[in-house]
Amino acid sequence: MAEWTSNNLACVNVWSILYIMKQHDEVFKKAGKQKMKQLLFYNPVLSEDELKFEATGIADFLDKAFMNTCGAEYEKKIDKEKAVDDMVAILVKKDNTMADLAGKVDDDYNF
Amino acid sequence: MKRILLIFLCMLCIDLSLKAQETILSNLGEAINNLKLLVPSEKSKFKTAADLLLNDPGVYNELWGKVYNSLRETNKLVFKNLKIDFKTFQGSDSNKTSLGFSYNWDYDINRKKNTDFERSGFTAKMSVSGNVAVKTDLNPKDFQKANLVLGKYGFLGGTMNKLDKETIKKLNLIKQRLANIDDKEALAKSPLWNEVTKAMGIKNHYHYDFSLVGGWEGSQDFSKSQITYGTQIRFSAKSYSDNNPLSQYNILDYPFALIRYLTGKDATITPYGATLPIITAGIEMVKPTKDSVRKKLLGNENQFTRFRFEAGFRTLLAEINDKKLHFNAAYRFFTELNAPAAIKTAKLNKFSYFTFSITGDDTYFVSYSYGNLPFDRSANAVYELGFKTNF
Repeated sequence: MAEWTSNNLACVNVWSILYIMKQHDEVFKKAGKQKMKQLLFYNPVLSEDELKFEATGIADFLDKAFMNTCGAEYEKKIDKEKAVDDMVAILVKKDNTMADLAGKVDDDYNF
Repeated sequence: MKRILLIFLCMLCIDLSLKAQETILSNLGEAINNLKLLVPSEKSKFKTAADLLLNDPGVYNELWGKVYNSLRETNKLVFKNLKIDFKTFQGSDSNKTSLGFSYNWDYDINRKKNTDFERSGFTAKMSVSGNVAVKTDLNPKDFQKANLVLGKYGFLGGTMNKLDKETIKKLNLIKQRLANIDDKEALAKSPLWNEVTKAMGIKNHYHYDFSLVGGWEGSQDFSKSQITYGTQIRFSAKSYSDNNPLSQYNILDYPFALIRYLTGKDATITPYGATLPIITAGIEMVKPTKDSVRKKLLGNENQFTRFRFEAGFRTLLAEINDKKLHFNAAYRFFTELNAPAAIKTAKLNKFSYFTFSITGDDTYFVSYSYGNLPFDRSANAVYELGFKTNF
């Protein structure tokens, strides 16, 4: 889990973009502990395939927002496919936290 | 080859679940023996406690989580997307319950590499999923399937503006100012959000997947099975602005918008565009390979055409004492096209299954399901009750 701090742009960008996407409405300080199952997209009665589809939509939106509006670049050996897949893997696990997601984003993107 | 692969995957799932159960039984046995030594006269009470534990899906889920994490640490790719959830099933016409589990495993064989500007590609993946109950007749979703999917997926919309360095720097500072607001209401009302969203140029976001799907589906005990092949389209649209016309079209969310308004969560009756449903529709040929009922009714196991429609929806129901309640629903519908009269008379031409739950952050869980899937033994006769407690 990444250190959840407003000095880390990965944390701030994950938090703010998910907020804009209405996935949560939590203040930054508390949002790091928010679990994936608490986000608006995480429908527990969907099939795994459907949930993954929804998570992929979230990850694509995040990726495009990072690249177009946050000045992000992929780290070495990372491309869009890998970055989106990494985010999806975090998003579909109900007990993963927003800090976990930010940690993976921090690994894959350079802000 | 497909059969061998399928059998291998099924064996893998069963093997893993058996290993998890062996671990559980071993741990419980040890614990019971220790307790017996301490208080011999309490033997019957310990047995009752052990029985309760052995039928508690929460125990299995916790232990399976540990087994799964240890498997993941071995970096075996095959386990990457394996998921097992233990549950308690209950029949609607009795108080009988059965421990069981649902499983899912999928593996992307190939995905075309994307760049930032290419947002569509080719996908090929395998998946195996199903629902297993210890007492087969109490399985509310007696349905297992193994699929191979080939198709094209893509995205449209999202954040359309490519910002320059100066604007990005300014937005990062604004976002950090927002991150330092500690009051939830003040954060929601902050005008800084408008500055961010205006600069980002957010448009509606669309995600689609058009696939050729082929596979096998059957009942838990393999007494009924069939091969299917056909096409499917899956689609999801999201709007992240409440004033956007697409948000207004989210008619499913209006009752919940009213509840949110009445409970004080929202200041106006506003449907959320972020909760537009995910839709899947498909037409497929079905070739029964083991279906005694169909053979008895028609005298053959000829293939037939089936239309399938599936939808999923989740929204915010209310927020009480800073705790959110979400409404989650899924609907699945299968109908045989031009079904023979005998099949219609036996009511085997249409199947529908609806399930919903109301979930809290970690506090509440209510779940109800109604209907039947193609291999369920009786129509509309069983339901699944929520397994997560802490009411």
